[in-house]
Formats: sequence, C-alpha cells, structure tokens
Amino acid sequence: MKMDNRFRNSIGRLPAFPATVHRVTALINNSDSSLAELVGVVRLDSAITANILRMCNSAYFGLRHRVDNVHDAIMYLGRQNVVRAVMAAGVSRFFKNTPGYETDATDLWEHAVGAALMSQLLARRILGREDAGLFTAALLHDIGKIIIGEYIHEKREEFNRLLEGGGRSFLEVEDEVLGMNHAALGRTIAAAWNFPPDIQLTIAGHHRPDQLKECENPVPWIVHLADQACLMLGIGKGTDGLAYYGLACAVDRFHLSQKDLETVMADFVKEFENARELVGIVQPSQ
Amino acid sequence: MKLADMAVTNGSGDGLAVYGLGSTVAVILYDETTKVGGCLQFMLPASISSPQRAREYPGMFADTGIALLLKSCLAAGAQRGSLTARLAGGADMMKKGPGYRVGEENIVAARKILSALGIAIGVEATGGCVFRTVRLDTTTGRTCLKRQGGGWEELR
Repeated sequence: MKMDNRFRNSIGRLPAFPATVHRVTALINNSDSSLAELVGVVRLDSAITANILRMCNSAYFGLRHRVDNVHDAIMYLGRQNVVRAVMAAGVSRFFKNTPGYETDATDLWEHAVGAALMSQLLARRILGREDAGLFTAALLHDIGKIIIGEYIHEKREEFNRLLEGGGRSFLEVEDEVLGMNHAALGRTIAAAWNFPPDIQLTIAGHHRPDQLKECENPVPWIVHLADQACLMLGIGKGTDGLAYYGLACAVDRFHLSQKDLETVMADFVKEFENARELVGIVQPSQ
Repeated sequence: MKLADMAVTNGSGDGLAVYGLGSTVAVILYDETTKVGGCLQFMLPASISSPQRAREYPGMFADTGIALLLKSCLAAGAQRGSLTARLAGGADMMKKGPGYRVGEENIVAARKILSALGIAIGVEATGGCVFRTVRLDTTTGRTCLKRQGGGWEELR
C-alpha cells in the first residue's frame, strides 16, 4: 500500500495533460465543428502547434503541398490525421529517460510511434480500415514506463535475479517486486489524464488482452500484436527486451498466419521511414 | 544501422555495429586477410513472403540480404575462401506460439544459407528474449556483444 502511494505521488507530479488535445478530439468527433474552431484551439498551445508543423510535412501524412501554418496543416491533413498529429504532439512531451529500462526518451518514444504505426497496418488487414482511436491507444500503451522505470532501477538486482531463470515475464516480475506493473500504472495515468475507458482498458491489457473482461473489443488485441511486432523488430531497446508472452490466441483470433504477420512487418519499414518526423519530435536531450 | 540495411568496409579502420537486435539477425562477414568486413540486419527469413518488398529492400530478408552482402564484400576486395561469419540476434517472445517464431526461423534461414554458400559461422549469440547490440572491429576481427543494460563482452 505504501508503494501505491509512491506511484500515485509520482503521477501527481506529472505535468498536466494538454487540454488542447482533448478539445481537438472532441471537435473532430463533432461533425458540426468548423475548421476555424479547430485552428483556434490548436493555436492556443504553442508547443503542439510547433510539433504539428514539424510533423505534417512527413511522407506519412501524404500531403501534396508543403504547409507552413496551422490553418493549412489542419485543412490538408483531414480530420483523422489531425487527431493523430495532435495526439502525437501532445503525448510526446511526457517521454523522458527511464532508468529502470535502461532506455532513453527517444527509444521509448520511437517504440510508441512504431506501435501506433504498426497498429494501423494491422487494422487495415484485420478490420479493413485504419482507426485514429487505435492509434492513440497504441501511442500511449507503455506510458506507465515513464514512472515505473525509476522504481525498477532501485530494485535492479532483484529484477535480474528473478528474470535470470527465464520462466517469468517482465510484467510478472514487476508485479512481484513492485506490487504494480507498467500496464496497470499506465491505465491509472490515462485515467488521470481523462482518456476514455476503452483506451484505459487497452493500456491495462496490452500484454494480456486475454485477461480483460471485455474480451470482444479488438483494440487491445491489435495493440498487443503491434507492441510485440515492434519488440521483435527491435523498436524500443529496453532491458525488458522480448520477455513478454507471445499469445497464440491473439494471432488465432484474427486468423492471421505467420506470413500475414511477416507481410505487416515488411510493410512497416517503409511506413516507419515515412514517419521519421514523428519520431524526431522527441529529442535525445529531453 | 537501420532495419533491412547493410554496410561494408574495406578495413580502413571503421567498425561496424548494429544496435537493438530483437528477432532480427545481424550477419557479419569478415575476411581477416584483407580486413574487409560487411554487416547486414535482416528482418525476415524468406523473400517469398513479400517479393515486392524484397526488390525495394533486399536487406530485409535472409535469402536476398545474405546474397547481396556476400556480393558487396567480394566487390570490396574480400576473398571468398577467407570469409567467416558471425551471427547475433534472433530473439523471440516468451512461450512463442504460431506466428511468433520469426527469430527462430531467421536463425535457421541464416545458418542454412551460409552453409550452402560454404561460409563457416565463427561465433554466434542468438535466441532467448533479449535485445542485443553487436560490433565488429574490422582491424582485428574481434566481435563484441552487449545486452541492453549490460556491458560489452567479446564473442569467442
């Protein structure tokens, strides 16, 4: 219980989540909202504005014209891409070095963006469409690591001892040593930031979607697959490595073959290259 | 070195390194007589799964990647008979089920292709569920390996 308070205090010390992100998402979901309203809200946050302008000319968003102002960026990006860009711009500011995973902010952010891109490739294959909500869930799936890392660092020897045998996943060792894991902690952070319950649930279950009560929702399963595919491709580089369960039921659920997953991974490389401006908004010095 | 990428050096003192190998595999070819070294980070075992991608990124697959790596090393002056290989990576998720054997299949593919080419594997650090970084010193041929969070150790 004492440890729980430490985690809660750490969450309380995080900077406030930018209100602009939720206001933009609400406007996008309201079909009566105007372009001028969207532009007005985005301009209120100078950091998000700067990041959107950095990102919007990336090949990932496929704009035909180079843009240099928020009005044109929002007009040409389209509503779903505005959600992706604003979410990435808003979430990126929380990524920092995580001593327990021996990884720096850029690696953790690279993994978040990678999982978000991978989730869209999987969604195209599984659902026949992309999904901006899924993009957000994937972007946030490891957000618990930004806090739990320092507690892992304090208990590094115990972690090493328990992981040495190879029988336990990193998530199980987090639970055993800290009484908390990065997925559950991530859910608490998402709740504190007022993200909707389905996104909180996805973050909580991204390693074990089979243990979620609402097992029918495909989103946690797709984020699970996207996360694992990125780990397999080395997008992340933490000390946790690939020490998580590869759930055969996740692959079976969507009738995916090994070849299907390999094709998605092959397509990912081009997508990731196209999105280098998204990865680049978190700088090594942060 | 990026995913699906390769590099060759002709012994001018440059080293070669691949950071954060997951299920991907680093294949290093080295000729100690000419000091020519080459390195590839391939992702998937066979180009038959995505022929179009193999044309864009030959380094993405074990078959097209190793063939191109060998060709590039020979073009840089390596002697075919003096080349030896080092392998690193090929990790997998825990309790891997169907669909999750990419690392294992990558290792099998690399061994098979190198064997068919008559290139012996000198040292190897593969499998498990850890990220690895591997580095070749082309002046000495020493190959060093680091697990994320750990120190460098020489592969022997």
